[in-house]
Amino acid sequence: MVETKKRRASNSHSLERAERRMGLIFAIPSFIGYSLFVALPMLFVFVLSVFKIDLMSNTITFQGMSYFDKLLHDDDFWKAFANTFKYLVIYVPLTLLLGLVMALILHSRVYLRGMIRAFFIIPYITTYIATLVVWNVFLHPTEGPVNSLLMSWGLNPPHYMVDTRWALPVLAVIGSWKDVGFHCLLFLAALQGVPRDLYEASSIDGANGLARFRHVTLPLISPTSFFLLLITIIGGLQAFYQMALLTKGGPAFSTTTLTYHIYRTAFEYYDFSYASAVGVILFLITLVLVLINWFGQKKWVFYQ
Amino acid sequence: MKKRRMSYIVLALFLCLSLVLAACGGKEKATNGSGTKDIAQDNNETGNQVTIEVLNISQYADTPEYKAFVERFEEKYPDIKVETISVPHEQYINKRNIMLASGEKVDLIWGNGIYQYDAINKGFLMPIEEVAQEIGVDMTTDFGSSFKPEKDGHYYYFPIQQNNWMLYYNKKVFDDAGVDYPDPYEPLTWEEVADIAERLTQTVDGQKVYGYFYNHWGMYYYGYGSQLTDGKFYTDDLLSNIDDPEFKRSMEWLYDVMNNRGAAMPISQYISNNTDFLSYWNGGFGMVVGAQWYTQLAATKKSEFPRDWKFGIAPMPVPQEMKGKHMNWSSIDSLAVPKNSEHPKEALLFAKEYVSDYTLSTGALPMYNKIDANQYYEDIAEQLKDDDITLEQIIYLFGGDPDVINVAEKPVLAAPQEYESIFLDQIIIYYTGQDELDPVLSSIKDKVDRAILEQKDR
Repeated sequence: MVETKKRRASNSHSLERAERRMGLIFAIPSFIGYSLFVALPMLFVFVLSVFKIDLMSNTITFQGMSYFDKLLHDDDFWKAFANTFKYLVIYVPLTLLLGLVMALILHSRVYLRGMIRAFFIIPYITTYIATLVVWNVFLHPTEGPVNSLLMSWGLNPPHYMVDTRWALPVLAVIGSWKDVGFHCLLFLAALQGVPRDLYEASSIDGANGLARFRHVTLPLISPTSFFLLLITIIGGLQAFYQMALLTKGGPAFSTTTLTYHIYRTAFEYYDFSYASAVGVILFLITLVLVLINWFGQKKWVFYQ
Repeated sequence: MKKRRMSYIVLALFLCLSLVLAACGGKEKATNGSGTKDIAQDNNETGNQVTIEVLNISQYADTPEYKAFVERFEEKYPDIKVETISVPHEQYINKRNIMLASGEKVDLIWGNGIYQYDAINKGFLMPIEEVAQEIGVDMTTDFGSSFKPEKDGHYYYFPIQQNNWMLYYNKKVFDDAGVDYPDPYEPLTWEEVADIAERLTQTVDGQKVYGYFYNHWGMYYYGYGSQLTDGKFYTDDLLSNIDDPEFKRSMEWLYDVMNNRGAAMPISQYISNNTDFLSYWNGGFGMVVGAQWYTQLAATKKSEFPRDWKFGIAPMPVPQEMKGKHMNWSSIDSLAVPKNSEHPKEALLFAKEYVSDYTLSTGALPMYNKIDANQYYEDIAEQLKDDDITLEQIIYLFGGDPDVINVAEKPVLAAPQEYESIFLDQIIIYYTGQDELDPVLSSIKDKVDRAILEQKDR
C-alpha cells in the first residue's frame, strides 16, 4: 500500500517535472523573440545614449551624460514633454471613463446589445491608418461634416489639424476613440464577474443604484481598473500614429510628443544618440508613473 | 528516457535559434517600389562581375525608361550588375539616412540639393573628382562654369540636371475668365501674378477654381525673397537669414494672395486635402510656378494626367525690381557616392551613363555638357506641340538661355534638412492667422540657428 502511494507520488512528481520542462520549451521561442527584438534593443538604447556612434566611419566615442545635459537645456524636449502630459491628461481619463460607461451600457439590458457591442469594438479592431483617414475627412476644415454643420449654424469653427490650440486635444480624442473598445471589453468582463448576491444584499441594506455602483461595483472591478489605468498611461506616453500621419508633429511643434520627438530626432535629423537619451528619459517617466500607481493601488484597489 | 527528453530540448533550442538567426542574418535588399529588382544575392560578385547598389526614388526607378536604361547599361558593361533600391520620394530621405547610418553598403545615391548637402554635412559622401578622372569626366569643366567645388575644394556629387523654373498656366482658366495669356518671354512681376490670380479665381459648375496654385514647399513661400536677396538664406556667419525683410515681403505676398484675395487654396485645406504637387494638373487652378519636372512628370503624360485643356509656359515671375529679367531658382539634382562604397569607379560610370542616356530620355537636360542639347529641345517641342508651345520657347525656358539669372532655390549650406523642416512646421501658424509674421520668423530663425550650431558641434 505504502509502496503504491510512493510510486503514485513519484509518478506525479515526474509528470509535474515533464510539464514544467515542456512549458519551458514552449516559452523558448517567445523568450528568444523578446530578447532579440525587445530586451536587446532596449539595452542598446541605454548604451547609445552615452556613446556617439558613427557607423559610416565605424567610430564610437564615449559621451558620458552630455546628451542628457543637452536634453535638459533643449526647449524642444521640454515642449514635447509638456505636449505628452497634455495628451495624457485628456487621453487617460477620457478612455477610462468612456470605456467604463460603454461597458455599463452593454452590461445593462439594453436593446440590440450585440449590435452596440460590435459598434463599440469596431474602432479597436480597425487599422489605425484607415481610421485616421476617416478622421481627416470627418474634420476637414471646410468640407468635413463637423465643420459643415457648425458653419451652417453660422459658427466659425476651427481648422483642427492646423490650429495649435486644437490639434493636440483632437489627436487625444482620436486616440481615445480608437482604444476605448478594448477598455470596454475588459470592463465588461470585470462587471460580469461581480457576484449578483452582493447587489442583492446591498439592495436589502437600502443602497440605491448610485450607492451600489460606488460601494460594490467600483471596488470589485478595481483590479481591472488598475490594470487599464497602467496600460492607458503607458499607451498615452507612446502615442505616435496620429502625430505621424495627421500632423507630423505640427503645427509649430504643438503635437510633437516625446515619441514623435524621438522619431524626428533619430530619423529626420539623424541624431540617434540624442534620440536614445530622450528614449531613456521616456522610459524613466513611464517607470516612475507605473511605480506611483503600483504603490498607490493599496489605497483603492480591492483584491478579493 | 531522461536523455531523450534532454535531446528534445536541445533540438528545440537549436531549431529556434536557427530560425531566429536565419531571419536576422538575411541581408535585406528588398525594394519599396513595385518594378525594381527585389532581392539581391548575398554574394555580390561572381567571377569578375561587380554589383553596384543604386538608391533612387521610385518616381524615377520604377519607370520603363529607367529599366530599359539599366538593361542597356548592363549590356554595354557586362562586368557591372546594377541593383536598384527604389524608394518613394516621401520616404526617401528616411530610408537613405537609415541605410547610411547603419553602415549598409550603397554605391550611388540620388539626391536633390537639400539631400546631398545634408549628406555632405553629415560626412556621408566621398570626394569624387579623382575617380571621375579615371572614367574620363573632368568635374571642373564638364558641367559648365557655374558648377563649383565645395569650400574644401572637393566635388561630392555628380550633377544630373539643374532645375529650370517657369510659370505654367491653364489656358482654359484664362479663357473662361477673359484674361490675356502671359507673355512667353517677358516675365510677370509677382504683383501682376497676384492681380491675375484674383481675376482668374471663380466658381465654375460648383467647383472652385483658384487662380494660383502653390506647393507646401519652402520656395513657394520664400522663393520671391530669394530672388531679391540673391539666394542669401544664411548670414555671413552661416546662421539663418530667414528674417531678412525681403523674405518677409515674399511671405506676405503669398499671404495676400491666399488670405486677402482668396486666389490660392487656404493652407488648412491644402494640408487636410493631402494636396499633392501634381494636383495642379487636375485643372482646377490657373497658374503655378513649376520646374521642368512638371513637363517630365505630368504635361507630357496625358494617359496618367488626362486633361481637356492646354497649358502654356512663361518665364518665372520676378519682383518689380527685377522686371524684364529672366530668373531661375537654381537647384541641382545629383548622384553621389557614399564613403563606404566598395565600387566608386563603377558607380560613377553608371552615373555618367545615367545622365547621358536615362536623364535625356526622361525629358530633362543633363548638366553634363558633352550632351547634344538640340535633340533634347526638339524632342520636348515635339511632345508639347499640341499645347502650341514652340521650340524657341522650349530653348528659352528649359535651360538654353545663357542670360538667365540663377539664385538659390532653397537653403542648403548648413542644416538644410532641419531648415526646411522647421520652416514648414512653423510657417503654418502665420498663414492660418494664428500669429504675426515677425514672431514666427524669429522663432524659425532661433530654431534653425540652434540646429546649425548643433550640427557644427557634431
